[in-house]
Amino acid sequence: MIVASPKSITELKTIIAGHKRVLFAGCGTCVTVCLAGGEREVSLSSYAMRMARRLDGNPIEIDQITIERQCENEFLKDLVEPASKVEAIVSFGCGAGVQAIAERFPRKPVYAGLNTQFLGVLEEQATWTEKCLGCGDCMLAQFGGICPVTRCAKRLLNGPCGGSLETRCEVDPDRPCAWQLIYARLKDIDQLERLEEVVPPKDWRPAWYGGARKIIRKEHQV
Amino acid sequence: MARNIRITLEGTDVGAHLDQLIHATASHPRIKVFLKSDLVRISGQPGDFTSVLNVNGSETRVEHGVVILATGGQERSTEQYFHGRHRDVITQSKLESMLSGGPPHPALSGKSDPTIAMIQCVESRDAKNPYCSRVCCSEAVKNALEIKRRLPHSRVLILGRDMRTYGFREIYYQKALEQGVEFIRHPDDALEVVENEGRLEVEVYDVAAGRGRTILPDLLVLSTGIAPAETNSALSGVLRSALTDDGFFQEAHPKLRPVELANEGEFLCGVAHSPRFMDETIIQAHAAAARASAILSKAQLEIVGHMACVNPAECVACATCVRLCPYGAPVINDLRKAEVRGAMCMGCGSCVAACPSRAVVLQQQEREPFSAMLDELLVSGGSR
Amino acid sequence: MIAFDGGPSGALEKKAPSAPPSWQPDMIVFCCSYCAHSAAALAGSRRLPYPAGVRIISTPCTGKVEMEHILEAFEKGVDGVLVVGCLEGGCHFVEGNLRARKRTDRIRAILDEIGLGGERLKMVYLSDAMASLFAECLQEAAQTIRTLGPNPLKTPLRKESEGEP
Repeated sequence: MIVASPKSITELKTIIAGHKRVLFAGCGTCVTVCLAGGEREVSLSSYAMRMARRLDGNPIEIDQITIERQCENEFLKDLVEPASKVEAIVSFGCGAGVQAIAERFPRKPVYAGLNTQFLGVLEEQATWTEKCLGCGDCMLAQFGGICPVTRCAKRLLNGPCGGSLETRCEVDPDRPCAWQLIYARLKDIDQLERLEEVVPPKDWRPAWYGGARKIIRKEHQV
Repeated sequence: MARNIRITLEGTDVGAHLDQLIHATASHPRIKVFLKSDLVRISGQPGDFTSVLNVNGSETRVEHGVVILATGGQERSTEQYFHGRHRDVITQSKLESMLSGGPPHPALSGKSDPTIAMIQCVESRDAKNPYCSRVCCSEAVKNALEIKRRLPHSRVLILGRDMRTYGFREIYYQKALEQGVEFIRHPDDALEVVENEGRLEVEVYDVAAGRGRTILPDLLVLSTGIAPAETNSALSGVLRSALTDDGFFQEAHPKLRPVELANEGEFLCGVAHSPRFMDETIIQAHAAAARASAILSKAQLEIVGHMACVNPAECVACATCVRLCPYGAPVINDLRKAEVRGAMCMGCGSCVAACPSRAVVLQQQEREPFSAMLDELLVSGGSR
Repeated sequence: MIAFDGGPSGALEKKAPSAPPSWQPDMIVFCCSYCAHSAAALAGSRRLPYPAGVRIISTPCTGKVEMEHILEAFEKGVDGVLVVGCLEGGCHFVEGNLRARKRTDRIRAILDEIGLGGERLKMVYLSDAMASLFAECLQEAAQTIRTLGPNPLKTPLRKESEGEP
């Protein structure tokens, strides 16, 4: 899922400084699950922002609504009426959600309330780690299901750099060496011979190298 | 403690009663006795507890519906007034065991008119142990009467700040006066014991006489009061049941739930709660048994209606509640939404506060009433 | 009553001038219904004095106290909030009090960030026998809040005689 984190109240205050009435829009999908932009987190930000602005002598009115998903036009309809009453919208969705709202309401300033960070997984309650950076050309079959493109600091495709210390990455000892993990996994699934196959240099064109990507699946068009 | 008492003030033979009770308990087909055992762990809920006992070194599991705590207390030990350092200073329990057939004290041997002085409230009703132990005055009177019965020419003096032979025990206080027992009332701190070449000298201010007096006892007996059992602290942790400032177990409510611990299904009686006479302990034990039977007699138990409930329309199945609940009550159901299994829910509300969509509510504890409550509480002249 | 400066250049003083020593701050005290509420009841039956401005809200467990409730209380002008729960390791519901601690830590950080002062929020741990500790902690908290002054967000309290019956 997409993992994001809330912006600080201080930063949010600077972002909406000039406005007197805004809409805080939460998103009920990924950011709720990663505890960043759901109904509760948006409420906390509302209370805190209202109090902060009153203490500054510059009160602000904050409306609040959480819709099912911000990246889907069908659900953005629910924002039309609340948006009409405010000067600006702060979206607590991921970057895609913020931009979707901005496109839907081209004459309203739309700001981001979260920092969108990565595609990841919940390791244990309240700890998420990045697993995939969306390179568009998945080679996980080659690496026993562990992605060196994302999880090796040097993005190596043909084995470890040799600098790891006690299974930790030499660039960041807080991270495990991805190639150590790949080796252990391929051994467990009896596919160690894959390590002998040479992986050619990565073609980054399917990734963001050429700019923002677009996908069309003709068989599904209406 | 009961083993140290031979006879009550009213004349009941405690030893015989105790032997009969032990025999009846050990031979009862539905009572299982674990001796030399400790409670290691307890889990579960009323009607369905599981305990792990350490029985003489090995672990045993027991399943049970209720807990009754009757772990008692102990006579407080002391080093005051030369106790432990002088042969002729003993405690009341030692005196009692002497009087009930034990070897006579060397200080009394050969004498037909010894002087025996008893000091009350030793290490009791002071800054460290502010509570009265209730039984010591009666115990002193009982032992004094017995001494007078055996040695009519002996001189027995009871020195105390007050005499608390309450209720019908007042009759025995009268009897003791008639038998010639001297009661000396003294203010706090107006009593001192010194040793003079091996000889004990008690100096006390006698309120009735209006002057100080010196007493030379052959035997000095200390009433030290009842201290909490040493195991209370550890047991309190295992049961998660609070102790009072004095170290005894705290009942759930002094008037409404006097024989229950705060946790449902757990009861207490006897000196584990506070110092008391044996007949009072027995009455309390009956009460605890009666309350415990209320749970044991039912085929089914009703649970309180404070249960968490998930609104599936709002739930995003993030499984935060599933991970959080200490009782494992929430699950993700076949409709891919969280659901709280009512029988396992204990109504703590942790899931309610954690749910990022605010999809869980605790029945009868919802959010809107809270806001209204807050508004009402902040009305001036309202709750003040 | 604190007056808002209406003009764009006006800014509310973040700390009101210090109030007289006899001022009773408005305090909301969340009590878990196992340990904290029993300790409060015991304090009452023993006539142990605690500050007059205290209003107690009972919850089954401090783990139930939602973060927004605390912020709502401060937004409505409460001067201080206490969350009182069981001793560490003694929570009747296993670890609700530990969750409450982490949540109060976060709210305290928010209160500091917006300039209201995190010292207005405290968490206390006790057992149901600790009536005197309950009263003492409330007295201490009231004293701390007296030095901080009234909540600058306070609006005058609604009088009981006004409004609908």
